[in-house]
Amino acid sequence: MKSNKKTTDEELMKLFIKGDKRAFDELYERYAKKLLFFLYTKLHRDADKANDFLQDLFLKLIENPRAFDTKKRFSTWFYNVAYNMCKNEYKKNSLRGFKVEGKEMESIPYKDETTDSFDQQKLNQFNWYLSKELERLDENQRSTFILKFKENFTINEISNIMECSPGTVKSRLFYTIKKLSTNLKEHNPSIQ
Amino acid sequence: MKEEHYKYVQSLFKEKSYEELSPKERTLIDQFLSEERLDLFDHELLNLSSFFEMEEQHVQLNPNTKTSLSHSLDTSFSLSSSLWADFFSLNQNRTLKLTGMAAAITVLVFFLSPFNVKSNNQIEDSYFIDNTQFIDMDITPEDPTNKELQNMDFFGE
Repeated sequence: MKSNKKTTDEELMKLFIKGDKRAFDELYERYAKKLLFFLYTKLHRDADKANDFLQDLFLKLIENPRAFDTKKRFSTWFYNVAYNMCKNEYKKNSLRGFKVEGKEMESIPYKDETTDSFDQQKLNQFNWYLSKELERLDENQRSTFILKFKENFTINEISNIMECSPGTVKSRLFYTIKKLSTNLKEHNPSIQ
Repeated sequence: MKEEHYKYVQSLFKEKSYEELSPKERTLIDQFLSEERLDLFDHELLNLSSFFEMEEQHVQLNPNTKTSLSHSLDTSFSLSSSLWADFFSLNQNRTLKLTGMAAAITVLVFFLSPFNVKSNNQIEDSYFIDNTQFIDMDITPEDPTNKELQNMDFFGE
């Protein structure tokens, strides 16, 4: 395999299907961390569970790489598989009557005043509130927000991942931003 | 997006629901959503990249995951690879030995077989010449041999 930096995900998948192990390693390097964070946010901030799901996700890829249509975009397909795994988990939990509790947020990360500037402290504080607000959002709104602003997917790509219309994605984003703007306003030290 | 449009977008977020937006307003919102910009509502602290960096610190990749996946990958590849692939790639020494043996047998057969065939042919030829000439005989009713045959008493009559 040539230099992977120029190789697209789809080309890597073609190589992997042909039996190139290094292509798999490269895909893991590109996606493991990103997907771990996505799964972490989907699985109520349970880091252990997110790691287990990540392993299962890549195992699916190993066991059946031909499930991927190389004419399509790999990232969208792979996130869709991850998204559906989480959806199945919710279904299982609801059938069993489990109520999944999100991990308790840590206290506001006020750091050592001698090392952090005042601005940094304000930023940490604000980020903490933002994180809390994201936790309060419904599952779909949170996923849409993460996919848009963390993973930089387009509206159409998000609609493919979440298997809904682009209009629904837009409306979810609209309400998410609206909620955040309303709820975060009181926590913005710059306007207090 | 122009700054005056941006101000208008801000007001839309504050005052309207998505369903209440007119087609023009919806186009404007769509344009806003397709951009990366999110410094809405005078939140000068809203820096999403720093926020996500902070969030990512709460979750770390389990180092065992990669090792475990590598084992699965090896197993999967060894199962799916064909016998021929194993034969030529994994057992090169064995392949060389087998190829050498096959070549030796071929050479042996090649050198031995012509002599055998030749000697056999000579024996067989002389045998057939001596004993099977009747095959080529031209038998006619007048032929003495045929008459002899006709007069033979096969059934003891």
